[in-house]
Amino acid sequence: MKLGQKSKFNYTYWTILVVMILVAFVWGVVRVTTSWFEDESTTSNPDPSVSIIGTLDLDIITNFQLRNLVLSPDTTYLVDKDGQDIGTYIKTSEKHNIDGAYVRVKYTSTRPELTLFFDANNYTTTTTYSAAVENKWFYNTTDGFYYYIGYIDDDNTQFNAGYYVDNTLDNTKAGADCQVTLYFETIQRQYGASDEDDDWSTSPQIFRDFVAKDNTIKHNPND
Amino acid sequence: MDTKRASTYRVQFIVVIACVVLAVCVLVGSVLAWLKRDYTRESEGLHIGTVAIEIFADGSNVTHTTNHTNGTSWECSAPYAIPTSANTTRTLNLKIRNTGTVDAIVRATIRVYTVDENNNITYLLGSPEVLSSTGVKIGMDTTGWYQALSANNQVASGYMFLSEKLEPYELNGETSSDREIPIISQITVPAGYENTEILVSVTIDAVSYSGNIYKKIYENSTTNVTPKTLTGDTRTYSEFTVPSEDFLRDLYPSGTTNLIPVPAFPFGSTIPCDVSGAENTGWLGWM
Repeated sequence: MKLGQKSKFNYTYWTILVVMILVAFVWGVVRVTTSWFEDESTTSNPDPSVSIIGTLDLDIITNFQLRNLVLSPDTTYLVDKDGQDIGTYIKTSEKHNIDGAYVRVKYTSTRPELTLFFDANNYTTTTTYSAAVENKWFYNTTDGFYYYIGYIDDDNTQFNAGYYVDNTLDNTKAGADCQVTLYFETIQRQYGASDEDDDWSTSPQIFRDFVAKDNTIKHNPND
Repeated sequence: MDTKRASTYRVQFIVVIACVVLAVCVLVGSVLAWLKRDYTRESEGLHIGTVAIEIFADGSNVTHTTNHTNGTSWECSAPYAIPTSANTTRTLNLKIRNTGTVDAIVRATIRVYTVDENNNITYLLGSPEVLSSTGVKIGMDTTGWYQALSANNQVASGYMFLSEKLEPYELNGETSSDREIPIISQITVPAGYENTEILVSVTIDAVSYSGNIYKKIYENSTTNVTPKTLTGDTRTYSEFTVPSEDFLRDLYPSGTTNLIPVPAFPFGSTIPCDVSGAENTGWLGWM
């Protein structure tokens, strides 16, 4: 290789190397400032392993201490064996430091006779968004989640007020075990995350319309 | 030479483009991660309730047989032999407990009889005609029972009803003697029966208080009940005697809240009635 050619090759080589380094740097900066880590927990609220900007964390209160831990036919359970509220409540925890969060909940039970009981003012079957349905829960048949048409903040938000057992129980079912599971998913409000995230792509239109309206109020957590 | 240079430039160009594409892919992948989290809460120890009654004599369980009938009611019986004795008054101290896990509505039937050497049964409690000749008297604690035999009543009424729901004997891990209900305290036998073995059979039927028409009436504070006509059901409205609230208040002391209108409906039946203020009809419940 002649001297001129060698110089040109070295120049090109270094050019490519510099470009790669610049790209990596830009990627690192952008990733830090605009991308958020993803974390999953199946038990309580673990500390995030890495936190650079923003912590998403909820406090969830559930109570399954029904009287005698048994189900009776045609009974609505609103208090537990000690007379305490049996409803489910959600709010952001003290560790939560971004502005609110969106939440959806899935309910499953091993007994079809046992269903959720909602306060009438806390639930809507309307599929069209309006201010009247804000801060209510909507059941999406597509994915089986209850969506909160609002955002969770540091005030307690009630999900279900209690539980209801219908009147189809009989001796053939006496003594059968029953397990209730409540599964909560939460996602940041900012930057249209719920619209972009694949897992939330099944969300109902009423929720999406609320998010669109909500995003006109708040975009950047630094605002 | 020019060809070789062009080839070199082409390779370099491809490498640069490849690097840029890879960087963009990484960039795109990284900016689509969001703050997300999920949580799971599960119940423990929940189960469907049960209805069960057991019979005790002087603290000992004397329940003999149990039976779930029609998938909804529960029955137990206790043929209890009273030892022969020279005394004419014999203590039984028979009581019942709800050994299930949900509140129950309870009715009882009592049979007092003897069996001779040929296994012939003679009921000492039965029609008034039989009793008038035997003079058997049953001492009972009638507190809380409706249509119960009085201390001097020698007539078996068929059924007697506990006028309040019976809570489980063990509730939230604690037992209470208040939830043990007396039935028969003693039997006074007539002269001539002192050395005769007398058998007492107590049969208890129980159904769940929740999901039952009785609970619905009282919790809705209504006595406006209109029977529906089912195919094949020939009963008329007059056969459904619905006591008024005033009637019940006169019958029971003021302050009593858990009243069972047992005269109103055939116990253990499917009630084909509309209850004013209720949204559903044709009660099934635990019959």
